[in-house]
Amino acid sequence: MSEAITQPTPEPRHRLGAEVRRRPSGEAPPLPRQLGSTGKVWLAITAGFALLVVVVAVNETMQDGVELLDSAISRWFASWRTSSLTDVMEVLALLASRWVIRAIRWATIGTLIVFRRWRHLVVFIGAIIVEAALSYSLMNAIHRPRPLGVSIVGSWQEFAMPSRPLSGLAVTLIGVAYCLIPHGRIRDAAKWVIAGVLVTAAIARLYLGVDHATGALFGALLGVAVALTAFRWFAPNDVFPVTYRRGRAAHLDVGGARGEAIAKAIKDQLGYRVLEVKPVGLAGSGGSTPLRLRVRDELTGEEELVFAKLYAKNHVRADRWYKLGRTILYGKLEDETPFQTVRRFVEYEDYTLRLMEDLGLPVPEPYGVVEITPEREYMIVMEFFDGAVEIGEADIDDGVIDQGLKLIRAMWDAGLAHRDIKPANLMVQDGNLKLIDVFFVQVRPSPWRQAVDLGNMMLVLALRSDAERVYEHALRSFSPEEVAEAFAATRGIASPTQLRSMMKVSGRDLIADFQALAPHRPPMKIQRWSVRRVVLTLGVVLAAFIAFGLVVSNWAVFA
Amino acid sequence: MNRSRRFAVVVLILCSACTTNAGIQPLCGDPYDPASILILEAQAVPSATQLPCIAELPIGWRFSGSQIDDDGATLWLDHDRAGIRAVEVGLTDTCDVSSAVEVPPGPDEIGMRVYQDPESLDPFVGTRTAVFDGGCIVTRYRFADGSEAALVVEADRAISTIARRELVAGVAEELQLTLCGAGAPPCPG
Repeated sequence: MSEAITQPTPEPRHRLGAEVRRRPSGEAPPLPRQLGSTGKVWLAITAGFALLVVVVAVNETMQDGVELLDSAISRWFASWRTSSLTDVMEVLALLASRWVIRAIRWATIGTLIVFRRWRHLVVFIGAIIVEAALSYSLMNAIHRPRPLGVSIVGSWQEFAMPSRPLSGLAVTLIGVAYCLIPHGRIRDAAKWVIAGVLVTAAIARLYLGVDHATGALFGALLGVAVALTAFRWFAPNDVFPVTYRRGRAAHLDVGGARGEAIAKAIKDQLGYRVLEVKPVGLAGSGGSTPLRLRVRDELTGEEELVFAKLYAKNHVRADRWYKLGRTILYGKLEDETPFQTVRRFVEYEDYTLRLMEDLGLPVPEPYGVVEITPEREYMIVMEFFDGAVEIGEADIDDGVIDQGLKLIRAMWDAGLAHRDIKPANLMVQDGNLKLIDVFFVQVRPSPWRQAVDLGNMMLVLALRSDAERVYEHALRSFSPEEVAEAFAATRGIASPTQLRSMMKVSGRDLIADFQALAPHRPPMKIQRWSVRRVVLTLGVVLAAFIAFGLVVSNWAVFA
Repeated sequence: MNRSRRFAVVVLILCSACTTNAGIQPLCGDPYDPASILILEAQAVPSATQLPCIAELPIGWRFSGSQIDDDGATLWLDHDRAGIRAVEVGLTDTCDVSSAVEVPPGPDEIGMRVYQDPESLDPFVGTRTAVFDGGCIVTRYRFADGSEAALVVEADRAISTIARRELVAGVAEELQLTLCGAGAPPCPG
C-alpha cells in the first residue's frame, strides 16, 4: 500500500504584489501589435485598386470604358490650357521629375548616413528598389499608351500605367517622412504636405496630357503603399523611432504607448503599480533596453526599486547578426548559436538568474517575466542593487578582490561561465561584489571559456588596483597553471569591448603584467576554422554580391 | 513561406526590373491592339506618318527591347552572330542626312527618300535613313566582328513600316478616340 503523498503549497520565491491578474482569452495584450489604421487603409485601397486593374486588364469592355473615362478627364484638363497656365504646369510637373526625385533621394540617403540610421537607410533604399521593380513590371504587363484624344505637351517615358514618376515621388516622400521626421504631429502634418505635393504633381501631369487619371492615381497609391508597408514592417516606429537624441538603436522608446503598456503589464502580471520608469546603464548595454522602475505594492503600500530589461525582436535580430559576424571573423567560439525568438531570449535569462541564485552567487533576485507583446516584446524584472556602483568607479579593497576571484571559482566549480565579465556587469554595493547581466551565461562551457572568465575578472580587478596584488589573491583560489591558462586564453576579442577600452585608457599592459607573473604558457589560438564558417562566409559574400547587384542593376532609380 | 523562399521571391521581383521590356514587340500585323507599342511609338513622334514595326524575325534574330519617350522611339534587334543590339531602329521627327548618299527605296519604302551611310563592310557598320512626311526612320547596323554583311538583308526583312493613318483609323474604330497627330482630326490643346 502506498503512502499518501502530501505536498505543501509551493511558496513563490519572490512574493508577488497584490491583485495579480490573468489575461483572459481574447483580451488584447498590453501592447497589441498594430500595423496602424492608416497603413491598413492604404494597403486595402492599393490591393483593391490592383484587383480592379487586373479585372480591367482581362475585360475588354471595361478597358474601353476606363479608356473613355480617362480620355474625358484628360480632355477636360486640356480644355483649360492657355500658354501661361501651361508654363506654370510645366514647372509644377517638375515635382515628379527625375532630377527632383533623385535630389530628394540622395539628400535623404546623405542625412541617414550622417545620423548613422542604417536600418532606415536600408529600408529606404529597399522600398525605392521594390517600388521601381513593381511599377516597371506592372507598366510592362499592362502596357498602356499615353492618353488618347488630347495633344501631349509634357515630357514622358515609356508606358503610362501606373504613372512611374508619381509612384517614385510618392515612395520617396513617404520614405522621407518615415526616415527623417519624428513620429507625431509633425509627421502627420508632413503627410498632408506630401498629399498636397502628389495631388499638385498629378494635376500638372494630367493638364499636360502625359498621364491618365487612373494611371496617376495608381502610381501614387503604389508608391505610398510600398513605402508604408516597408517602414511599418521593417522599421516600425515603436521599435526604431526617429529621434535626434543620442542613443543606441537597440534601446526602445519606453514612453507613450509602450510606457503605458509596461505599467499595465507589471500591474497585471506582477501586481505592482509602476510609479516611474527610467532608462539606466544604456551606455553599457546594446542587447536590451535596461530600466529602473520605482514600483509600489498596492496591498502594503511599500515602494521599492526594481531592475528590468526589455527585450524585443530587434534584440534577437541584433544577437543573430552579432553571432554571425563573430562566427565569420573568428570561427566557432562555443557560443555562436543564436536564439530564434524573443520568448527564448527572456526565458533563458530568467533561467540563468534562477540557476545562479540557487548556487548562492551574488546575482539579482529574479521577480519574473512580463509579456508586453506576445512573441515580440518581453520584459524580465529583477532585484535592483540600490546604491551599488560600477566596479570601475568603486574603491577596490582586498575583500572585493577576493569576492571577484571566489565568484569565478564558484562558477568553475558549478560548471558555468559568465562570458561577459566586464566593469559594467560588476557592481559594488556596501563593499559586496554583485554580478549582473547573466544573459550570456553558459552551462558546461569549454575550458577556454572558463579560463577567459578568470582572465577578464583579474583584469577588471587590476584596473582599480594592480596586477601583483590581484595575482597574489588569485593564488588563494587558483593554481599558477590555471592563471597561466587564463592569460593564454584572454587575448583580443576574448575580452569585452568595454574592458579593452578601459585597459587602453589606463595605459598599462595588464595582460603582459599577468603573463610575466604567471608561469609561461603559449597563447591559445582563437581562430577556429570549420566547414560551417566557410559556408557562412561564402553565403554572406554571395548575399552581399546579390544586394550590390540589385542596387547596381537598379541604379537608374538613384542616378 | 520560409526565409530563404521569401528572399528568393524578393530577388526575383527585383530582378524583373533589371531587364528591358524585351517582350513587347511592335508587330506590323497587330496595329489595332489598344495596348500596342505602336500607339506609343505614334505618340512619341506625333508628326510621323510612318512607324517602324517588326514584320517577321528570321532565325537567329531576336527583338531585344525598346525605349520610347517624347523625344522618339528606338527599337533593338539582337542576332546570335551579329551580336547584341546589332540593329538599332530609331523614329524621330527630324534627321541629318547631309553625309549620306541617296539610294532607291526598297519595297517597304515606297514614297520615302532613302539614304545610306556605310562606314565599314567587315564588320558591317552603317546607317540607312528613310525620310517621309513628319519624320525619319534611322536604322543603324553595328555587326560584331566575324559576322557576314549579308545579314543586313535579313535585318531589312525583319523591319518594316506601317502607315500612321491605319493606326489612327484603328483607334477610332476600336475606342472611338483620337490618336492625336498626323492624319487625325485636331485634338484639344
